[in-house]
Amino acid sequence: MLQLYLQLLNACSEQEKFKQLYETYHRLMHWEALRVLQDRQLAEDAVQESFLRMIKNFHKIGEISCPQTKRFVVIIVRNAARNLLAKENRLRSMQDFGMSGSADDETEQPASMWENLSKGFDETPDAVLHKEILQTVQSLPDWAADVLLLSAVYGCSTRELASVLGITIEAAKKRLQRARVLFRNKMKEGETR
Amino acid sequence: MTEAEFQRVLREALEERYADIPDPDELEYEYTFSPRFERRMKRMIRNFDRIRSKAQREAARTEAAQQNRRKIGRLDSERSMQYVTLGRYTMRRAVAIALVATLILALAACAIRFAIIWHETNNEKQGTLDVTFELEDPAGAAEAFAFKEPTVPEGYVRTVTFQKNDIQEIEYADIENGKIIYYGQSPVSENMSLSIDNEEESFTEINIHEHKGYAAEEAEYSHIIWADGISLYTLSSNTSLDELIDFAESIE
Repeated sequence: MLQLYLQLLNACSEQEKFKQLYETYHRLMHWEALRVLQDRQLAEDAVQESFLRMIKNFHKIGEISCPQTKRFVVIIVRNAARNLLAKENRLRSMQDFGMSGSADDETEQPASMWENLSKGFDETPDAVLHKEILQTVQSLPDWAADVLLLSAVYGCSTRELASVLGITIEAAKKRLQRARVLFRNKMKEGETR
Repeated sequence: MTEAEFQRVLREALEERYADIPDPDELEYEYTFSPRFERRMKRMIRNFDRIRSKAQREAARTEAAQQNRRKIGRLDSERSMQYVTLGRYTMRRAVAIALVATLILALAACAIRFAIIWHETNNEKQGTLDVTFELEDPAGAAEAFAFKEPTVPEGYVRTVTFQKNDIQEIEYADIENGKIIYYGQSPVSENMSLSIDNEEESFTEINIHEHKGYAAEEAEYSHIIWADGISLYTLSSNTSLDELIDFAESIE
């Protein structure tokens, strides 16, 4: 009985937390969605869809007012907006987002986000490598930066990536692989410059 | 640079990339959300726990379905203790039992039609359509009850089945596309009362093989409920409403 009571209390606080999340970010999210969609009504749909995804991944949300949560909600709404655009046939499919050339030649099947990512840069001086990483990340397309951030910083599994980005698990797996390859190729390009 | 340092720098670089997102408090953006949006969000907040636990159950089911993908032949015997939902209408799953006898009844029920009247009250306070049923021949309808199944759509597999006494619930999954359909069937009865959310703009009356029912599309899920005088059927899915209606009409 006590356990049930505690569960109820916990459920109430989670709902309250979600309400706070909504109140804090719904305007920012609409602003971000509108930048992608250029349509106020569709932007509202993207915001609503994003809150649904956040409920499904609520365990990823810690403190409400912090940069980490802000980035997380913006990534979700941005991707929801892009998915809506793709659905509206105003944009090519998300699968095609800057994923041409060498990224399609991907053959590696990494066991984790980090496996082999830093391989091949052992000889590069730290200061140079640091700068190259910063520049490479800045030059990544949004889709790649989003998926890398969710995986590297938020520790999202492939399933969670799929849920957050609104795509299938297979597509999430592929997108992460492509983002990793793109990152490595850009790093290598930076070295040869 | 060590592996750990490389990871740290990459994390920082990724975080830095998003540094220009404005703080919500500092954002100079005035926008009045539509009443439709406000209403839907209010409902989402109110139903937070239900949506969350449903999502958790679905994630667990998808996980299980993927693990058993190569064992589809044995999937029919799997069990679960979940619920099928149509708005606020829920139906409990139960333990599986054999259906040999009911298949025989299904053949007998094909040629019989039973009249049913829907008594409906629009409950504005709750935002629901409250329904009770009147049957022309309750005893005959109960006797004619038999389990029926839709045709499995292309790309889907029948994953989980539950039958107990006169309740049947089946899941159909399109694993490649992340689609799932929940099908439920139970005898329609005059003791039954339903409350169906009717606030959705998409809430509409439908006909499945000339039997009355209702459909609604929410943000992610479409729902159908209808009755043929013998059975009450429910379908919920994250596929389109059109596909769901085609699925419903495949039930002979």
